[in-house]
Amino acid sequence: MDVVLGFVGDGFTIIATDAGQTRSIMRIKADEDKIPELDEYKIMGCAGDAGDRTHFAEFVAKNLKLYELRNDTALTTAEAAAWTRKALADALRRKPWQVNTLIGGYDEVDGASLYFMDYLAAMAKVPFGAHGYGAYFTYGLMDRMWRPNMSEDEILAILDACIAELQTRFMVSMPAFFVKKVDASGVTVLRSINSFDDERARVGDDEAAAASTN
Amino acid sequence: MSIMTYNGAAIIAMKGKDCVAIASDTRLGIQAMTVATDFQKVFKIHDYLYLGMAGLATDVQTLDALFQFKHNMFALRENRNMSPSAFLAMVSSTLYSKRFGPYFVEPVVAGLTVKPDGSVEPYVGGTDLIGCISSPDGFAVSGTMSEALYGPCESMYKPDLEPEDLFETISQCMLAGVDRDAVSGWGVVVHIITKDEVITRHLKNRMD
Amino acid sequence: MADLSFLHATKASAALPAQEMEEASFALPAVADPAAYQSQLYDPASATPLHMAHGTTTLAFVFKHGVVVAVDSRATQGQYIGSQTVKKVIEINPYLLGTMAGGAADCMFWERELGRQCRLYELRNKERISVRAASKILGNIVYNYKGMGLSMGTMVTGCDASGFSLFYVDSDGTRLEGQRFSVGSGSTFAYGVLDSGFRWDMEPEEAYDLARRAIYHATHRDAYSGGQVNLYHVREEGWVKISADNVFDLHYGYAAEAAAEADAEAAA
Repeated sequence: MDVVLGFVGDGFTIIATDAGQTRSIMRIKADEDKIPELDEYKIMGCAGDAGDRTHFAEFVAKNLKLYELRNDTALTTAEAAAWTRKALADALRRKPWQVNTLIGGYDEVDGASLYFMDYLAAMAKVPFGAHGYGAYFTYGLMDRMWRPNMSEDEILAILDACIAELQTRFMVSMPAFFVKKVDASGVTVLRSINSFDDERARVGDDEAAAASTN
Repeated sequence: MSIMTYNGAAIIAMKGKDCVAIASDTRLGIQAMTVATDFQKVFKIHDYLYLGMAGLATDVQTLDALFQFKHNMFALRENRNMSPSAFLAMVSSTLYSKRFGPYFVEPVVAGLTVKPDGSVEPYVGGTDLIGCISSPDGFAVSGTMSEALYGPCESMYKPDLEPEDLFETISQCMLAGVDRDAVSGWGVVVHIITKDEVITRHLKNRMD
Repeated sequence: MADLSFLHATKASAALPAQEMEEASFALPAVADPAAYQSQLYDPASATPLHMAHGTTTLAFVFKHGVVVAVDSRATQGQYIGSQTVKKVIEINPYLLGTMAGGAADCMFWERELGRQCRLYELRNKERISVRAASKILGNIVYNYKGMGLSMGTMVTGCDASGFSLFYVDSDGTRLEGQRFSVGSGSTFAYGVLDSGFRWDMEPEEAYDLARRAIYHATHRDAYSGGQVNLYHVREEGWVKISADNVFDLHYGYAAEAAAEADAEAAA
C-alpha cells in the first residue's frame, strides 16, 4: 500500500513517499523515510516488501559507492539505474526483491532525470511516475498538471494536489509524506517527519506554556 | 492474466524488394495502466539487422543487453556481422537454454543478408518463447493481439514492395492491429532497412 | 473440466416472483442453486468463463447549473477491443439519464426496464417520477438478483420537482445519493482530475471541459477505456447531449493547447 511519487522539474527531480510503515492491518511506524539517498546526487523512492526495501536500497547504495572507490568516478543517473535494473532482473529468477522504485538523480550529462522501475525490473525513463495503488489515484492528475521545465513551487503544487487526492479517495490513511529533491547542489530534504521531534516539541510547548502562565 | 500480456506489445516485420521493415508499438503498461509511451521494443543489432521483442518488458530489456553483448563478442572475434539467420539461431539457442524457466519474450528479426556478389536478400523470422524458429515468406508478427495483426497483414501484404510502399503497408497493418488491442499502441515506430540507409519514422496514432 | 454437478439437481425450474409493478421475470436454470451456478458461469477462474463487456470510465456531477454526465465509449472482451462507439449513457426518458459500467447487456436491459416503469408511474400518477424513486426502483430490481451474476455500476441522474439529483446504484445493491461519482476501471484516474478541478459555481462550459478532460485522462492511462467522450448536461427542462469527441482529436488538441501555452510563456 506504499505510495511513491516522482517528478522532473527544471533542473531538479523531486520524489515523495508516504511516511507510514504498515504490518498486517496496523501502522507500526508513522515517520518512515522510504527515500534512501544512494549517493550525493541520487535518491530512490521505494515501495514494497519492508525487508526487501531496506536491503535492496542498501545493496544498491553500497555497490555504487564501491564503483566510485574503485574507479574514482561516480556513475551517472542513467548508468546507476541500468546497474540497478540488472541487479533486480538477475535477482528476479533467484530470490526476488519485491520493491517498486523511482530513481531520481542529477548529473552533468543528462541533468535531472527520473527512472521508473517495477519489481520485475522493467525500467523506463519518465518525466513523472508513481507506483502501487497510489498510481491509480494520481496519474490522471499528473497528466493534467505536469508540464516541462516547471519550477519547484509548481512541482510541489502538483505533489500537494496528488496528496490531497490520496487523502480524499484512497482507503488507506496517509497523514504524512517525505519529500526529497535532487539537483546540481545535491539532495535536499524538503519535507520530513520525526515523531520524536514532535514529542520533544510538545514537551517544549508545555514548558513554554507553563512558563508563560507563571 | 498471462505473463506474456502483462506489459502489452505489438510487433510486425515485413519483407520488401531488397529491403525489410520492422515496426513496434511504444507502450509500457502494467496490466491495464499505461506507464510509459516511449518504450523501446525494437533494437538495432547492426546496420542490416534489427530485433524486436514482445512479451515481459523486464526480459525484453535483459535480452536486449544479452544479445548486444553476444553480437559484439562475435563481431570482435570474427571481424564481421552476424547474418540475420545466424543471429536468429543464436537467439533460439539462448532462449532454449532457459527451457525450464524461460524468458517470456517472442522475438522477431528483420534484416538483410549480404550475398557474395554484394547484393542483399531480405530476411524476416521469429521464435516462440523457448526458441522454436519460424522464417515465414512475407511477414512475421508478435505481441498481445497477434490475431489482430495477422488479419491486415494477410490482406494487405504483397511481395517485392519498394521501401516507401512497404512503409505504407506495415504502418497501416500496425495501426489497424493496435486499434483492436487494449494493451498495445500509444505510439508506433517503424524502421525501413535498405541497402543504403535505415529510415525511422514515428506514426501519429491513438493515445487511448 | 467444468463442474457439471448442477445437472444432477432435483429441484424443478423456478422463477423469481414478479414484483409489484409488472416487472419482467426470468426463467432460472433448473439447478439446485441458481445463484451458485450463475457465479460459476461468470467467474474468470472457472474452466469456461463467459465474457461480458467490461472496462469503462463514467462520471457525473451535480453543480450550480445542473448535472454533467460524461462517459467513454470502449467495449473490451479481454484484451480485444470489441467496439469504440458504445453509447454508455442511457437515455431513460427526457428527464432521466443512466450510465453504463460493468455488464453492457445488464445495464442496457434494466435501464430500459426502468424507463418502462417510470412511464407507467407517469400514466398512473399524472406526474413525473422523482430521480430518487426511479433510482430506488432500479436498486430494488438488481437487489432481487443479488448473487446471480448481474454486473452493473450505474449512475441515475436527472431533474425533478426537488431539483437536480444524482444516485449511484450497483449490482451489489448499493444505492447512494451523491454530489459526484465516477465508476469503472478508469474511474480513479478521472477522480484525480475531477476532484481537483471541481467548483460548485462553474459555468456550464467550464463544467463540460472538466468532465471531458477527466474522461480523456482516464482513457489515456486506462487500457480498457477509450474511443470517444460522450457528454450530456441535465437542465431543468431535461437533458441535452452536448458533445461527442473522439479521443484521438482530444489528445492532439490538448497537446497543441499545452504547446501553445508553453510558447506564450516562453515569449512572455
